[in-house]
Amino acid sequence: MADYAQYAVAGDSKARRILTVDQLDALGEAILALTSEVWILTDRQMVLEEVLKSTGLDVTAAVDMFVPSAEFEKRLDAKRDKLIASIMTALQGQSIA
Amino acid sequence: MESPKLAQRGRAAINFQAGIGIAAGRLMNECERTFLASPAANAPLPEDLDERHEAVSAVIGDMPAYKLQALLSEWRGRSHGAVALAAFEDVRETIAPQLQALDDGPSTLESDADFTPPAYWAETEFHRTAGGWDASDFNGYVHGELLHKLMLAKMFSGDIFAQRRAVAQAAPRRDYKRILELGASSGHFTIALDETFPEAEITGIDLSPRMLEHAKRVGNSRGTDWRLAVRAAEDTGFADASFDLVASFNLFHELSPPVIEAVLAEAFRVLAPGGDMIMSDVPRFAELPPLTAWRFDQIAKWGGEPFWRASACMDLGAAARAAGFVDVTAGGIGAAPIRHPYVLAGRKPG
Repeated sequence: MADYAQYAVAGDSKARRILTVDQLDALGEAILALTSEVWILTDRQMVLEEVLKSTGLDVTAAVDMFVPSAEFEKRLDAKRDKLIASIMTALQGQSIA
Repeated sequence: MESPKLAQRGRAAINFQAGIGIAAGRLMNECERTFLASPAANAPLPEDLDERHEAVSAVIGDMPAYKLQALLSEWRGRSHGAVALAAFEDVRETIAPQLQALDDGPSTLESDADFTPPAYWAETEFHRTAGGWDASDFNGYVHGELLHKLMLAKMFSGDIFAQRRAVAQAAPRRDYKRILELGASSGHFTIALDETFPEAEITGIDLSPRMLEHAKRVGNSRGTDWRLAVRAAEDTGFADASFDLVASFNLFHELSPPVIEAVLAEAFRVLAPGGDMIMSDVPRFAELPPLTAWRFDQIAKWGGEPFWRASACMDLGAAARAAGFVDVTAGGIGAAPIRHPYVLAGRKPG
């Protein structure tokens, strides 16, 4: 044994299992909740592209290179927190909206 | 009433729910095909529905498709009400004033602060509606418009509104003057009755004030003078012989057999001699292919339909005759093999 090993406390991450069998249904529902969010955003993105296209604006390149302002970053944070909360709710086996 | 206009998020979320429902149905079809191709399909399925479920699950219960459809359905059952309510809340500021503007008009809603709903209704979350039918102030709109028109209409085979018109048109006469609808809810079947019998005075009752509030707005949006009241179908409080037609659509499977018998007795009482009764509901399990009956039973068991099994096992024709009706007919009028909707009809002698 190396000298340092007696002082080391390291879990066996390969053997670690965090979720138990009784949480599998909740995990499945969380995936569905997440997929719903992905769909909602996909729908919105397609709507946005159609709306812009109808006004003659091609914003694809601008979107790719966009740098959020501090204010916009806060809005992104809030949206992201809401998304994460919805997944966490489902993972705990509770109803989601 | 104008089709609901939702914000993008609510619209997309409800569409996703409908898509999940359709996907679950396809997976179940795959499972049923697997069962029918198995040696087990050569033997008759047990009559007892719990035993039938064991027999079917022994063949398909471990299929990934079976487990996934259960997961999809469970998630949708758990979340659909909350999703629809959230979709409404996104546009509440726009829609609520439009709905409230329809509170005044020729249709009326009788309210009774002392009314106590029966325990079977007050203590059951039908359709897994969190908090029950009256959980939010505009639940009639949320369920009658958003869920029915934007979700269920996409998921269920056939035109669910044409089914209501077909039932109304199955009544034997066109000259009814006084019609009583039992379980009027948010007014979908009331519209069909109104379209079929434009000269009749229509009274609709239900146990849910929120649903009837929306039915009143629907009636007012059409300029019709529906009389709506919060009353129980098995104890309407109306005078003897006060209606020419008593009708319902998809009410019986929400009721236990003793209550259905009481409803038929009440319908007989309030009908004038010579009046007609026409009640439509889900198909009888005994008249469905056994595997289809099993599927419906599972949908009911996990879908917040606690009385569906007992109700669908009832001989409605016998119950109607026992209540005093004559010229009783009972059977599906839709496409085979399911033939939904199932229509029970009869006449009060006289």
